[in-house]
Amino acid sequence: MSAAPEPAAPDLEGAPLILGEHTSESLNKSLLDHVWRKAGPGWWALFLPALGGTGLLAVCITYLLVEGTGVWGNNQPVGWAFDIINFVWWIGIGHAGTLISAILLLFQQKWRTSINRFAEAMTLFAVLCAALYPTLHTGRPWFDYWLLPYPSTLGVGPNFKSPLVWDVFAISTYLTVSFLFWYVGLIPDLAALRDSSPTRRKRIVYGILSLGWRGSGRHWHNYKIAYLLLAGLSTPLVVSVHTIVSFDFATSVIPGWHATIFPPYFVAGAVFSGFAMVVTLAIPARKFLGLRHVITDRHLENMNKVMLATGLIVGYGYLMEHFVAWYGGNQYESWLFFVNRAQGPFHGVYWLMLFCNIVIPQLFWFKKARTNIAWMWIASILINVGMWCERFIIIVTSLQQDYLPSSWDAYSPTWVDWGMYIGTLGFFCTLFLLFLKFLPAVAVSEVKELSHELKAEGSHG
Amino acid sequence: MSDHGAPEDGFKLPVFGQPEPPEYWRSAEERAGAPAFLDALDQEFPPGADLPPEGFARREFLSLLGATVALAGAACTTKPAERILPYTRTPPELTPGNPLHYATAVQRDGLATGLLVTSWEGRPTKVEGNEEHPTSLGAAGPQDLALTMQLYDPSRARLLRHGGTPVARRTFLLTLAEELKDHERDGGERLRFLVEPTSSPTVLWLRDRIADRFPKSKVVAFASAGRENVYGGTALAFGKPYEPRYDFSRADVIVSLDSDFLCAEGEGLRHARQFADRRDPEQGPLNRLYVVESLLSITGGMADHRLALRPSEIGAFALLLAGEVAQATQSPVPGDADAAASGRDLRAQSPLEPGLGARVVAYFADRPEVLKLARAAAKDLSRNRAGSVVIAGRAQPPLVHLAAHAINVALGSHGRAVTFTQPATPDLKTGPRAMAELLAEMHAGKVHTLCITARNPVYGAPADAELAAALEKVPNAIYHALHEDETAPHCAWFVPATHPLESWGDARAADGTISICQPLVAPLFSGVAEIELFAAFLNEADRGAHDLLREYWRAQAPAVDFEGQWERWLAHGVLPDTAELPVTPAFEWGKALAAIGQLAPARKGAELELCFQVDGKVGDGRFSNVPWLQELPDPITKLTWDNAALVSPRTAARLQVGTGDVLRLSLRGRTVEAPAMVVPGQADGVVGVALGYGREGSEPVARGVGFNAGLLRFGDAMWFAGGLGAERVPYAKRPLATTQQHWAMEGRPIALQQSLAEYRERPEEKTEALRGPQPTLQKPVEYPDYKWGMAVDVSRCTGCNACVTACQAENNVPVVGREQVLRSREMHWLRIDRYFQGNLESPSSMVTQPMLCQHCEAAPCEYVCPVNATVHSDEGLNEMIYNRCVGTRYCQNNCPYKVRRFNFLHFTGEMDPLERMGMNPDVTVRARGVMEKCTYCVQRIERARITTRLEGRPIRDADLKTACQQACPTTAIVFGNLNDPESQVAKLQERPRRYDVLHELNTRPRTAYLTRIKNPNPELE
Amino acid sequence: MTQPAGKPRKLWTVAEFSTAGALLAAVRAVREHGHQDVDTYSPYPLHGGSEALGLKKSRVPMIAALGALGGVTLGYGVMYYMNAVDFPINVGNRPPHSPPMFIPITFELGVLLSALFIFFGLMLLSRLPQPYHAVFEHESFRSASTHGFWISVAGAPASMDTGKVEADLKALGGTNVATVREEVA
Repeated sequence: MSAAPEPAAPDLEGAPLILGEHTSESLNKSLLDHVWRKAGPGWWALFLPALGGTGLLAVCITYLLVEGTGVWGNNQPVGWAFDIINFVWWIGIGHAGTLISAILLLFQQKWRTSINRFAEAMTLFAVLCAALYPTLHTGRPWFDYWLLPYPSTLGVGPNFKSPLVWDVFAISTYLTVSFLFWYVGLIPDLAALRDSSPTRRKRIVYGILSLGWRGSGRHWHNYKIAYLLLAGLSTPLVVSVHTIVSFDFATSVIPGWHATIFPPYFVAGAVFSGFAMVVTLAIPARKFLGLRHVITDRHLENMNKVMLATGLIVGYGYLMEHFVAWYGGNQYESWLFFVNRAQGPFHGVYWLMLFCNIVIPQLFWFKKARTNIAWMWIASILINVGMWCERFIIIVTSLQQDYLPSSWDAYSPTWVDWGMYIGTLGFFCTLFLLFLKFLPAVAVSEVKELSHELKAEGSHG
Repeated sequence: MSDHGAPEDGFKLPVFGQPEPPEYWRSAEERAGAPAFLDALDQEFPPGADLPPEGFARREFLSLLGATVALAGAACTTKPAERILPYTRTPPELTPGNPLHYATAVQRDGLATGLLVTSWEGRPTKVEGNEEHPTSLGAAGPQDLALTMQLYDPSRARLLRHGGTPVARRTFLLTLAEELKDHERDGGERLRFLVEPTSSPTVLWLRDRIADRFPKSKVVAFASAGRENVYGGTALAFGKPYEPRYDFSRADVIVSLDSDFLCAEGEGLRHARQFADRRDPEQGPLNRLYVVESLLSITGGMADHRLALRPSEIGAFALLLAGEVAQATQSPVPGDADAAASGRDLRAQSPLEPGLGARVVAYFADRPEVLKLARAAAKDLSRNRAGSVVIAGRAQPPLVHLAAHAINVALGSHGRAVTFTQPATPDLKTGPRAMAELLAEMHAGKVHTLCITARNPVYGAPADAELAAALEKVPNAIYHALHEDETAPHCAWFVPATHPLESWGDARAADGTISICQPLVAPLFSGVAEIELFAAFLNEADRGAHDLLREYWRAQAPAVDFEGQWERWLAHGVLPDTAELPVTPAFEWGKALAAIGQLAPARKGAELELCFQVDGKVGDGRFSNVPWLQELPDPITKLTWDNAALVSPRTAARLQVGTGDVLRLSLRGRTVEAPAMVVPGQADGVVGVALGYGREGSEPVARGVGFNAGLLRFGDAMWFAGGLGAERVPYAKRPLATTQQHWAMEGRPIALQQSLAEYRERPEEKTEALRGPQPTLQKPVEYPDYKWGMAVDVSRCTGCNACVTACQAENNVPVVGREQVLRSREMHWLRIDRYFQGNLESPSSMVTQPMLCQHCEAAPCEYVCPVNATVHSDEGLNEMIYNRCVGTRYCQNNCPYKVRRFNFLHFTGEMDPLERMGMNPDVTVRARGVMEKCTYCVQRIERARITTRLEGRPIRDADLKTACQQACPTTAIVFGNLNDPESQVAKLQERPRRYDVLHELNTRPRTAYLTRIKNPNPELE
Repeated sequence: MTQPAGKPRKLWTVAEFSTAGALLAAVRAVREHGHQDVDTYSPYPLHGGSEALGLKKSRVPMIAALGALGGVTLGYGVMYYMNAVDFPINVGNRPPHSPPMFIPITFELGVLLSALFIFFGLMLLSRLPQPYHAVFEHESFRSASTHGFWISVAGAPASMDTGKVEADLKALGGTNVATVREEVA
């Protein structure tokens, strides 16, 4: 993971992190008032389709539970398909949030402050969507609890040698810690909302949520260290989570899965796609919420740099996979990489993956591309498409043509597969829009602190 | 039912909870509307035959009620009221929870295969071969193995109908009796029988007696895919028809002229065993097989040298071969010990003229490989005269058979590897020609009563026979069948038949050996046995099949101790010493030579030829309502739930079609549309179509599966025809549900094959790198007690599918249907992989490899299971615990052999109560969302453990066979205890040919394979 | 300003300052005057705030360490007991107790418990959740969470001379000075 932050090294000569002169009051106004304003048509225009997606998700899940896994396209030999593809994809997206808020905090990257809040929210919601898939992909989801080590009358417990059990712990830990980290960060801002709330009812609600925070010196005294420690925990956690996810594949014997390069290559990929998603969300968010003064072009540019860096790592991963397949002289792997993936039934997806993940980020070498909002927004979306293709290629093509040619077979997704994917996208957007509406999208107290520091710096020289 | 409960019974079958066997009702009325039925006894017409339609509704209700009761009754205590005997090897008295095995037999083409049926408390669940039967030798084919599923088919006809109205059996008999009185007056002038060929002595006896009663009545036999040509051939050769029998254990060189003699049914079981025993390099000299055929067959897949010719050219090749053999036999080959010993002058004995071939050499001039092969084969044959066999297929006209016999006689294998016996069945003429006269009579309205026991003639008869139309002219047609199929609606009477496992009977094997067929269960529906039907024409139907059968045999057997003998016959399934003695008829050279000459081809066949094929699944259509067989992958094409127009790659290119495109086939003005399928190894310019599909009867499973190739069948071209038109239907597609998409091995060491020469030179050359221990971090676990393992000899495996069906029957493996197979979700625990070698245009060879759970000691599937649902037993079994499985499918992903099967949907959900009766109670029926796979038949291991423990001894080979092993006609699959040095499997795994699939993964599989050995002719290298 | 009758347990005198610097200065001054029960209220952590209040090193890290240790032990222990002691099975020829395979979960549980300990430790140490507090009695105190910098000096009614404290705070430049009292249930 070490590689990620370096390109994000602070360049304080760069564009300012906060535009214009701001007092705490003005910041409150600009950052909190949208909570009290009525939701505009723009918000509804986004929210209603998202809600529809959530409905679709509900329908698909019901159908799945009634009929069985067969409503998906999975088959023999392709035992895993959209279920695990989407799982890995969402988890990956989640990672950027933690990375921005935790790692950049540890590296004291000031530019993180105004984007970490919704990056974290994004993490939380992405992990929620991700968690849906492994839970529902089993043949008998109502027995999923057998994966937990509880004193069972069956006598036999879970098999802790199985990476799937590792997943259970990794994902649930990741979800819990992300939530705590996010919530702890929210408390002071919730207090601010409580104290600036126009009506009694709102005041009570936010009062409860803020747990009675007073911003007392004694609170801050423990709060600062606690927040720092959570960040410290999240950093190795985020690395471990995707490492473990990659173990699902790396520990198997299937050509295309059985590779030691997977952990770093997956983590890099995760950050890559995660940052792309942050950009995808940040650009409209800052427009609609009028946050241009705190989420400045400098933030976006830094994120593009991170994407460039991680994109290169991912590219290196691809390169190594193919090199090892050739150099190792393993006929099964050579077949997989050079025949099946490059020319096989899904070669289109394969080349699209290479284009989106390798070619597109290269443009970020140029400052023009790094600072052009429209371009970077499209690029960020393309990168997410590319990363989805990567998971498809890794999971489906490897399973589709493994050792015995007799068992090779075709794979095609069903409407339920697509329905659930679109559904989770809708679900994610629903949560995210609710978040933007009812919670401070920017870490207000941190921004105040930052602006205070910047002022201090300014005054000193 | 005269002597049920009679004191002389050896031992009675138990009846749970009731002292007396219950009386069995015969029809819905008899059961439900008793009073009406009683009236019927003295009425000529059935009660309510004249009721308005609402009366019909009541009958429907009653019949349904009756059917329900039938199921209820069938549930656990239904068993024949008559006395049947358990197989000798099992304890006589039935212990609940312990199955019994009963010997019986089934007929196909009038020839019997001896079977052994497992029955649980009167519930037959599993068919196996009878080791004491000469044609079974303990093996059974897929169609035999699927009999239980056919028995429990819920769509079987349940009611005796007259013009669609259900009537009582009694009513039918009374009406018939009246009709027969009329027929008696004119001596049966207008009484005809259209029968399924049969060898049943009792049926034949009844037929004779009917002939006595109605001197002018006639019997015509019909089979849509019969063996008429075989008998025609012997008739040509020897003046009268004989049953040719081939002893492949003595055959050193075999030339097959379009004959699929290894296919797993009838004598094929014996052929396969004898053939396979000669393909084992560690057991004496190998034979050599030349196959000349049009479509790739199982036999063709085993060939050392194979030639694909148009069906019409096979005869020409026979002629060519005859000429070459004549050449080769002109001078006795020096050192032909056999000929020397016999001291016969071959010239004197084989007047085959060397000139014979000359006529066709020109024809094949542009195909040197044909001439080359013919010459080489001829030389080979003449080098092994006594041990040479030339065999022609049933699809080839009698002349080709004649040529084959001529060559055999010339070579002197006549009377050694090839023998002849009196045919077991008199019904030898089964083709359209035999039916022609009857049809004429029918059209002329000269037939009043026609009794049909032939299987679905309206569907099976050639299109130009127009049997359906003829039947309309027959006022009193009586059709006797399992289903109300295509023929039923055209007949006044429909009489539901009893299933072979429901009815008493007898039958003779090809060699004449007689078996008594025992019913395993009382008729589930109001079925009438064939014997009873014929007895009805003597007004003796009420005596029941059992009684008539015993009467006949009592007369045959010496008076002393008939009961004792009877019990022995039933117990063993065969009557001792009833095999016909081989006869050596004189070959009539004069006529023969003249006739063979006619084989010279008229013109070069440039246009397309249509070639009909009877596949090993649904046969001529009689099995097309059996889901197991519909879902069984075709041995060659791996196609399920469909038949297709098979074309060679070149022909496909010519027609510009690919697999899945739809072809419109037209022949003499008739057309059908069929999905094309490209199959390597098939003759160019030939379109192969399987019969038995495109059914339109009342069978729900069979309906709409495939297309009816029979529509292109004509009386004078029952097996192949020239002048076929074929064009692609634009934009039309029909996806074909095949279970194997990729047909090449991509140079991977999976199904290994080596030539005999290579093998003799360096036995382990191919295998040494694929066996033995490998370095590993984990100390291998010890298995001190039992160590179960399997050896599969690919050299023996013909890919006949018997093991697949056996596994399905034994382990309650569900059928998933076409849609799911298209999604690649078939559930077969054991599949047969089929690879082509060489280029797919014209593959050099085809290898089959049964692939099932390898029970790896270091199983990749196990450590990835999050819930310990698949773990290792202390005897090395890779166990699957269904009720613990949550269905992550991780194990399936991580199985390098991809042998695990997942219940994607609730495949066992909507099962008919009747179908449930066919389930094996020893094996869990899996639910949705659960992974499953081969268990090495762990339930059989446990049974063996119980029996041997009672005797206080360890389990030995003899105590235990897996289902696949038991069914295998070639004994290619051997299972046993690797720790027992005496066990066959332990010995086989020591053979130099032994290797492990994917050995480099070090999964340490318990299932080992033996390479396939080919024995090519050096002259053709 | 006087509060309605009733017996308060404690009195708070609060005052708002315009900047963080002024606030910290006030804190130091007040503590020099001998008032130890002082606290600050600010929208974001103040640099040097803790020092000014003379707070001891936070105990959160210790709690976090405990959590991590507990998680690691629990994780490995459970796995070892279930797979190697209670129900050992031959799973693909792997040893029942295989440490490398146990690492991921051990780590994850360490992180999980540590995080939970940190959160609840923080709650415990800051006496949260605490929906009601006396200082909320002062209407303009609401600015404490948004932009205001507040100080509070607390004491028992007996020992504390609110008048004097208010005077001192005013002297230090405090505005909105007031004394609030905890409501008695």
